[in-house]
Amino acid sequence: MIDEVEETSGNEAEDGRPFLPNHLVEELGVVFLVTGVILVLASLGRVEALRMPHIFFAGTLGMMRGVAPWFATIVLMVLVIFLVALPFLDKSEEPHPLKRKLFVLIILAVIAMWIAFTIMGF
Amino acid sequence: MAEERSRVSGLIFRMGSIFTRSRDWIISRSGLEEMIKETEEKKVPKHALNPMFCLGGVTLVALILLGLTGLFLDSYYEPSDVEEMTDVSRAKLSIQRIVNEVPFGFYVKSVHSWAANVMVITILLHTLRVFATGSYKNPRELTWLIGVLLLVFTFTFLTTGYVLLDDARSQSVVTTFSDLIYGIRDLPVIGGAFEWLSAWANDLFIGSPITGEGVLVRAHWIHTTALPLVTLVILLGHFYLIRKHGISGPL
Repeated sequence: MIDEVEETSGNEAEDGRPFLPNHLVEELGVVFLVTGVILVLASLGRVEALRMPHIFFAGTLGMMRGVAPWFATIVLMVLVIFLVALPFLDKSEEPHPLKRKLFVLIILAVIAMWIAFTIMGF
Repeated sequence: MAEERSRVSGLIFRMGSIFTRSRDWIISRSGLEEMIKETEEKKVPKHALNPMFCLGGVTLVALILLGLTGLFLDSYYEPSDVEEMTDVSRAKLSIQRIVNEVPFGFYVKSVHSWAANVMVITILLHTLRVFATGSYKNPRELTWLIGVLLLVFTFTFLTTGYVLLDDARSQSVVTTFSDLIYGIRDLPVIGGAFEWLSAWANDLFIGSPITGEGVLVRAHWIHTTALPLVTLVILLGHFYLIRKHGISGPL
């Protein structure tokens, strides 16, 4: 059974601001700002972006060291499956996070767990 | 003097006329007219410039910077573990050459490194924002699914990028990845049934648990050819869906 797709025009903002030139100019401002920040960070002498053990891998390392490699494999697989399944599990039309307590709790638990394992992995 | 001035203004006018005619010719032949008209009439919701709604765009800027600096770095990088002197592979030597000898090499490598970190952080925050505002709900499920794929690709980019460094960090990343793949085999109860899968995946992606030529060549191919191509196609799909469904509403 295919769910009915909600009607969206893609340009739903009838009372919004014009894309040309207002929004485009502001978007370009953001582009220059981000590029500028990265260029300035890169010019701060011979400083590596982040030192090893790299913060993005530390969570996985923490799970491997703290529990077992197979645990890290399971957690990563379940996490990806959960993210893929999320729109089909959370069928409510309510966008506000406080009215989707279960899913918000799951995500908060995952973030808390990841921070804990990241600390362990360092 | 006045004659000279009128000659210059005439030249500018003729150049302007050539530009206008060229532009009109391209628009009429390419059928861009409708798209331009639609863009001119398009309105954007006021919350679109909220920093939390700009994170996808920031990720894109970082990705473009990564692509540009990556093209530069790849023209000097050699994915080979053949040692030219004791304990120094060609890959490592080529990185040293980029940093020490190539004009602006160190700076470009540094921009690549910072842009990668910015991209990972902003894509994670973007995912959290999409979750927080419930933007994955009907009718944007497919946009979310493609986004999850892009998130996985981002971490694959990060992993393979680290492997290419061919130093202590890449050894650590390869070992971690290898342990993750072998983790399938070590799963309690059902692990034995998937031993073939972990062996196959390890052979395909790593070849051996220490960084060797097989690993570097595979990682280089994935990092510079396979992933960029697939990411580009998927990214276009992501943009198409965002354009079709529009920016999701604020809370």
